[in-house]
Amino acid sequence: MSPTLTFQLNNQAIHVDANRACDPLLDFIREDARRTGTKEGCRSGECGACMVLVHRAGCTRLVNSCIATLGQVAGAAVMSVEGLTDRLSGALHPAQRSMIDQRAAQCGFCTPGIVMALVFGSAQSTPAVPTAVLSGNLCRCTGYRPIIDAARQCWNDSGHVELFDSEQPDTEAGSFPGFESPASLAVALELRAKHPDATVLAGGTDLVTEWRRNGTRPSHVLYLGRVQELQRIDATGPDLSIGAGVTIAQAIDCLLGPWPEAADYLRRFGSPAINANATIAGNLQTASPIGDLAPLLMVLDARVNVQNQTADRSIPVDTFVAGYRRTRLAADELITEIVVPPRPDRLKLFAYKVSRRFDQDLASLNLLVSFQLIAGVMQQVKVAIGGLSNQASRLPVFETACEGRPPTLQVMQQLAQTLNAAIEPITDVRGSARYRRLVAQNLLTRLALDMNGDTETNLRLVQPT
Amino acid sequence: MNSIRSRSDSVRDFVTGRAQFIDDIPLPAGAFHVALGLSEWAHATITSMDLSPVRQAPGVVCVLTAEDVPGNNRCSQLGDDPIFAEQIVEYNGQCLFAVIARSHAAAEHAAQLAVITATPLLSAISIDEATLQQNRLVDPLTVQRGDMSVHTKHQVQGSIHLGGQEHFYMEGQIAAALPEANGEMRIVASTQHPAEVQLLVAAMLGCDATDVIVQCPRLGGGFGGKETQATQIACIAGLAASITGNACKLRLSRHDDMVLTGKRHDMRAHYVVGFDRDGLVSTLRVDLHVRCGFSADLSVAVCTRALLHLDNAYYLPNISFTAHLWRTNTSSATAFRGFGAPQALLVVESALLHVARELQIDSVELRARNFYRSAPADQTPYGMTVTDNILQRITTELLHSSAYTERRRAIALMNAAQPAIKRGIAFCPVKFGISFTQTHLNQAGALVNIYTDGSIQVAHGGTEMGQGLNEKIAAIAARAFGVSSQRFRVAAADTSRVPNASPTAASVSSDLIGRAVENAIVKLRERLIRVAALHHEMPEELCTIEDDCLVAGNLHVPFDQLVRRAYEARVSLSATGYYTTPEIHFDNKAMQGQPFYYFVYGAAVSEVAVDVLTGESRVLRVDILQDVGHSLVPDIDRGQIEGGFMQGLGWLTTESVVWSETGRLLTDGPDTYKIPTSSDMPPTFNVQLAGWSTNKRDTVFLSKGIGEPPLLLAVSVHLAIREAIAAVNPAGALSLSAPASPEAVLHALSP
Repeated sequence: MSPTLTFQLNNQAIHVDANRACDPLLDFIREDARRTGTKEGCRSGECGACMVLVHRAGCTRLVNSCIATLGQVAGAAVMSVEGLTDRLSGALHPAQRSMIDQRAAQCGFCTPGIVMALVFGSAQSTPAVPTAVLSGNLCRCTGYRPIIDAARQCWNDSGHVELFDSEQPDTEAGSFPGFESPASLAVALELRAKHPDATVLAGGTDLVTEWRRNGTRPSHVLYLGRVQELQRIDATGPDLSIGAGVTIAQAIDCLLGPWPEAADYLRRFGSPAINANATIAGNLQTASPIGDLAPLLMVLDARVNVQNQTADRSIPVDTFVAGYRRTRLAADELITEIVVPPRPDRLKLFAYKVSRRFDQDLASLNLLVSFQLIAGVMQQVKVAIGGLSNQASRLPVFETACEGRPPTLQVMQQLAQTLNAAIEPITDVRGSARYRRLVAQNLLTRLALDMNGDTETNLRLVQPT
Repeated sequence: MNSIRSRSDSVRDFVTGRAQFIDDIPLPAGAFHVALGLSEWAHATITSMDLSPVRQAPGVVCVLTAEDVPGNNRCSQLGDDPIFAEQIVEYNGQCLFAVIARSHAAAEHAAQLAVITATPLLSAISIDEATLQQNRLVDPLTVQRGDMSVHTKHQVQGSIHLGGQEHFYMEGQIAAALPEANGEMRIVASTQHPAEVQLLVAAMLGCDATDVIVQCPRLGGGFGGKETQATQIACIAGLAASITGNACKLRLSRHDDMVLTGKRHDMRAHYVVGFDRDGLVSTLRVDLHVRCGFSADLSVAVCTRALLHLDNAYYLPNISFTAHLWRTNTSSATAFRGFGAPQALLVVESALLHVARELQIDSVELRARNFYRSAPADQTPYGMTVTDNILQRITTELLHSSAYTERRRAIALMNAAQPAIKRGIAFCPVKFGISFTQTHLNQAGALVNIYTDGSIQVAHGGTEMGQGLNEKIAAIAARAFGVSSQRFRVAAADTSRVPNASPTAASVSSDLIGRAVENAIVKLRERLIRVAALHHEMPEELCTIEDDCLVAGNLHVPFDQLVRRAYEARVSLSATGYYTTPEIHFDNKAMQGQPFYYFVYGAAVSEVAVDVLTGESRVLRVDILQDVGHSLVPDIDRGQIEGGFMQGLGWLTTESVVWSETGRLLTDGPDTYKIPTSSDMPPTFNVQLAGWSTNKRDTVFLSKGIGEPPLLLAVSVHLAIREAIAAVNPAGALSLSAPASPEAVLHALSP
């Protein structure tokens, strides 16, 4: 008998042939379990029609089931929209009730996913912002107004609904042939050494999308989601150490403490369903030219710590990224943590992302600048750019040109030429090279205005007259 | 089959996951799945097509090409849309073959394995290339009136480019075909036009329409994208089922859906406007150059509606409007909510903005001066008299409720003080003609069955796609009958219940179908009242049905008893209803007549902020006052207004359809094609129905159609962005293209 993978769906135990560990969770829910409330809208984690909740170790995540695999939910409890209705009384969940009350559905296809996002929002400890929670849910009919109203109604509803049975399945997920889930770093490194060709999987938000797009499926997966050592965040020392497996949502939370200026920037990283699953190391290791995190970590002078079975090394983020979707990670190494040094005195940080749409869009351009303002001039200048060429990178020549200059409007506009000479933007659907050059230079003007602080520059803060 | 009792019931089904879309309906065991093989060339002769790797792939049952079609290999009435391309491919994404496999994944995988060679032919991707090659789909369409040579004191001209739009219905194209034991082919399709699917599937199979039944439980969004484009999907599913004798389902992946199916027409427009010193327009010449794609599809009808909306709300005494329909090697541009009118509106509003700038007159004042008014200034260019104009009142009320004048003044002050963020505010009126411009489509049938327990089934040819048609029909039926709407069940669309139905389109469905249902109910009421009158020996005129009872003098008989009595008296409890829109007529050659039964009016004031350093923009506040006549269901109408507006906002801001120079669609998924999210919604969004409005025409309960007009209100956002740009670069503001992407805005801002 082939090994079995176990999880719960709507509080019922599910046993699946472990050979299917790489199958999309969505297909299992719809086709095997015949829970067809969960919809397929895009199969790339962009529309939210397939959203479910995944509960493990007391923590509930919003998940796009189209880009999650069965192997990743082994040992967890999954809730689809059908599971929200009370099994005994048939009573609706407040999220469902509020959607009905606000008449927040027209064609109804996005509705189950939106209901799941509302349920997720209602479980937040701090009051949730509707547009932020819903940033990963597309609706083409309603224009969102009734959905936002439903979110407000639902979250004002004080009644707490316990969705998951207190008795959770065995959290021991186990390894399966072709899908290994080590629980310790030592075992993970051993497997990594033994199978250098295995695909390393963490949140899967990029990788599984790629499998879908190419119609491929890896023969051997090394899944790191259960390696305890990789989940740690250590903020006790001078450095902030973020474990490789820490999710983007958690990473954002711990970065915002010392770097509150990055709040607007990080708010746009991804939807809750992406941020709750994607990991900080996964985001760096994909080395995508439009990854928002790499250029930020570059100007924070962060380092990537990697290990193999015998040694470890520490690589600055800007040299870790080696090219288009390439890094300096060796085939027997794993990323263990990202280390961000303490915030220097008198540091100024500017984090800009420009894109066609505010939420859930790939950047036309990211410009990140940090420096210490000492005696009115910029020192220790770090500038990183992303989104406009084949990789995110620091701009050393431009940094040198900035060094020792005051960040005034006049100076920054003078420096624009140097910046222009330092970048080589491409033309694609997110913008022409000409546009990207213009914006990169204009953002220096914005930086000077933001330094000064008395000018309105943030579109999101503008109020109607 | 899905059917609904009321809106809240269907929303309840949605939020619990119980509602079934086509992909959710269980198929018979062993059903097959179909996927498509698509062209990678924009225009080419296929020299070889080796499908053996496809056939040999795991799980594959068989592969279908044009040679397997027993009847007509066409999926459009006009006949220029092949189901499978033969020898020549005419766009990148065109369907070449279909794979039938035991699973969806196996079919999709196998579809990638074909080895195809082709010799490229000269292609025309852009409007410019098609113009250069004089690749016209049909002769230009023209509307003309008056004397274009009259002397005008002032004249300005300009050009504007308007982008296309992907429908991005959340439920992609899908159809299932189920061969019945008696030889019938049952098609369950996500289509806005089941009757056309029925005809074309029959022609494809070489059988009669009576051999094909098409059902449509509900659509997960249509927006025009499933008016003609769903037919090919249904035909291929039908062919697969016919050849294998097995149930077959074809569900397109989002990528295949986006590259295969047509989108909103993009255009390049040129205007020349002549006017006097008060801004009264005397001449307007407009040339629309329209990218139609590889086939005709609905392009002539779309361009006709565009020409008939180039006047928008204005009396323009001398005009010459021409649409040039260019054939390009791209997917065939098709219906999309508004059907050419949104593009036309943006063009005429751009021309008027230009006039206002030239004369330095407030653009609202300029617009109001040019509004349709009393004779002879009530004549449209196409020979129809505007008799129901309420724009003056709408404008006055909206300007007041939105505090337009005060805010405009405040914005000017803020713009002077703020270098990086510029605000803009703009008003836009909309007049939208209701009726299909192809007059023969303005008809509808209905079937109403009363069962002996007093429950009532209503069947009609319309499709429910989220617009609330079925709830409106239930409301109309209840009111017309005098019984509770809880008695009704509105059946899912089914060609065997109501035949030959027009597409659910053009904002006319509740008008046409509502009247047809009412017509059937009038017949049934008369029959029931006759039965009651005989039974109670009362004159018929003293009997009526209200509040679920027969009322005859002091007598109150429950409706159920009345029905039972009629049944026992051997009176038919089933009736068909039928309706055709009266008075309308249109000569498509001369482009003259009365194409519309009435007009719907509305206006919006939008305020935006523009980041002049990046070109990004954000809508801050929108105020809408919309005419719906006597609203049938106000909540539904409000939903149509908000949703339509946001769809228009997407078209004009975040949504860009981009083809490469070689004709590959670059925006082929949600990662590159960006419809609005909730954070793009205006934080202040005031929507009011003009409660005082009525329909001067005798529509069902004096209501008006509302599906499309609100989309056009989003033009106010584009105008507002131009106002903001004008604070920096007035000349650039005039030529801002659509969508106003950050790049387009920054371009317009640059001197």
